[in-house]
Amino acid sequence: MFYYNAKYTFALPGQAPTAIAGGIIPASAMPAGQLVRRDFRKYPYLQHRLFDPQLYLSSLDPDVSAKSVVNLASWPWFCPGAVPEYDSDTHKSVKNWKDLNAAALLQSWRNCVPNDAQGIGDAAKAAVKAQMELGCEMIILPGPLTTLATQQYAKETEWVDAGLEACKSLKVGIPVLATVAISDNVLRGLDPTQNPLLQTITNQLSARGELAGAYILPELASESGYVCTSRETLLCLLLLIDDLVRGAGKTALVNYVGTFGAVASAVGASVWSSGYYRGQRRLKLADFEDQEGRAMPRYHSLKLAGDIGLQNDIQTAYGQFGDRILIDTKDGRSLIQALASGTYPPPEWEYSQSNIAAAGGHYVEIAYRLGQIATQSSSARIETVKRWLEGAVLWSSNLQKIGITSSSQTELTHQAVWLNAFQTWRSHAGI
Amino acid sequence: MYRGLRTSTRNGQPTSDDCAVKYYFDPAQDERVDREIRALDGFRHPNLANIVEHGRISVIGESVRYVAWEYIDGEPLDTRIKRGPLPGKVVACVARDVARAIDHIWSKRIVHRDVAPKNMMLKNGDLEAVLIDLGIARHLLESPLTAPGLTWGTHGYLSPEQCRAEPNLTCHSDVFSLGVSLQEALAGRHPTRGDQQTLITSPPKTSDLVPSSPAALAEIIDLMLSLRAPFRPLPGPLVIRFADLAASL
Repeated sequence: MFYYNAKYTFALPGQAPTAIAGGIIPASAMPAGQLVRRDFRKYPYLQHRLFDPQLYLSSLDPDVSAKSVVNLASWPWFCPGAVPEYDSDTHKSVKNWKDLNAAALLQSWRNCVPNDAQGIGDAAKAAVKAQMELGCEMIILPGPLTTLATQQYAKETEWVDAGLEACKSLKVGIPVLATVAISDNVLRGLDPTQNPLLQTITNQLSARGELAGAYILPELASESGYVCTSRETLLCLLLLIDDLVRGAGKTALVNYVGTFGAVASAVGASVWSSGYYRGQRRLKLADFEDQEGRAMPRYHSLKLAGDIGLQNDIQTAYGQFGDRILIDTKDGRSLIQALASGTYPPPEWEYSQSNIAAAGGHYVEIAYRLGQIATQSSSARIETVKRWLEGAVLWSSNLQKIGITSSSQTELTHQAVWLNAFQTWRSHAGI
Repeated sequence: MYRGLRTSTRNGQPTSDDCAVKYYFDPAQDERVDREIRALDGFRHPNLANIVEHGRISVIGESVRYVAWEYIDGEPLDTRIKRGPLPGKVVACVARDVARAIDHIWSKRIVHRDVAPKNMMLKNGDLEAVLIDLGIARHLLESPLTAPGLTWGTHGYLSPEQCRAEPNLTCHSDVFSLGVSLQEALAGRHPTRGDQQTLITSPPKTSDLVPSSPAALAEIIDLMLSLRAPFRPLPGPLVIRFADLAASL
């Protein structure tokens, strides 16, 4: 199933389908005091909501990531008691609360993530309690980012056990997931089928009967684009899912891998999450740095499993292949019509700053449609994804043949990598 | 390990109980022994040998640490196997009880690391088993005392993770070792005649080893020997499955 990776504004972009199965709200989206007051009933997809405590962001530098750090530091598993909680009577607005407390939150951020057993236990309990109060359908236990392969996943399992203990003491009756946040730095350059870190992770998580599964997110420290282009990273992800789901009978949820989530779904992930913006499609610590830039519209092609540049490439592609590489969505319809009638671009697809409502709605509709493969049988899902990726490789080749090259707007290099990772997993799993 | 007599006064009357005593002559073992005591002191479980006393005594002028364990009046499984293969029902009973012990220690995040027939005591007409000698058990949260690249356990029963010298083992490792022990009990001989490498590359199918073994029993044991740890069943569910089998065989 596809879950929307929510941002500060919960509203879905453009005319995105309202039937989306659920949503994941990250702790960095807004301060604690604001989120607990938000009315989730206005957003149908948030009736099935998860909350990501994002402990893995604890190494953010407050000097360059102040906006995110202020939001994160307001949650008690980061900086308990650093400042008074937001109170509408006292502070009147979140902006006032932020103005009043931002400096103290930024000051308290450094080294405030606990490292001792008592501190970890208290932090884990606070994160579990917050999710219960937010009415989440599952609990995501806080977990640090794994950046070193040599530490045997010991600190991570300490957090998992502290979280499980918290769930026990708070009498949690809903499924509990461990966070598996791994930097791709520790996944690249090693044969994933022999990667001892992966074996340790799946060994540790599957041995804990109290865990329903894992919430998995690769941190794409080495990527510059919107998509993951590393075969090792993607294959590691698939092997993790396979070991947990097919091996241990657990649940796997995946976030921040764009539409590769559909591949994860074919391998056994029950939920994958994404969104239009780069920060919703991938996890990279550098993306949390305060930036002034505005997003530009991007056209996502389902058939290409990637984006096609709106400035030039989409017209070139249309000129050669017609609408075969495009797909009809509510928000994308006007683009196809404009290309057909020679009136490109329509205003909602004009390549200008922040003009992203249609592009966002179009992307989310595609993700929603890809999410529907979850309703298929396991073997049908695998076949569907195989055909989709094979088609994407072909389209990538076709576009290159007519002179379109890979660029920051047009994604043509990852398709073969995605297919290779998927086929290698199939071969490894004997499926 | 020695058999000892533990004397004390109960209700004003002198009493004595048998116990199993282990002496640790090497001072380098002190920290390991301390851990063992910390982890296991206060443990009470019917399928585990419990610590009854620990301390130091003087042996020829040297202070020596000792740990006294509850004496289990029974027969070690390895001795029993020497007399011939065990019936499926007995194997299911042993499996149920040892899985229960593994489940209990894992709930405290302790891994036995030396589950082997020599450490399983049969009692009550072979229908009950007790897991003994947690001397090399390790608590997950404590740093390993074993040097990197070294592993503990008994050759011929080591899990793939133990052979890779992974420091943070889980109950999956004990489940694998139990699976090997169960195959040995069913076959009356070690499944690979002591060849550790074959065990962790292509462990024999139980039905090939013992064609007459009950199919349901063989199926579970084969799963316990999965080379990838997550594919092995957890000890908790194993207790239920083996209890059902023990009742039905």
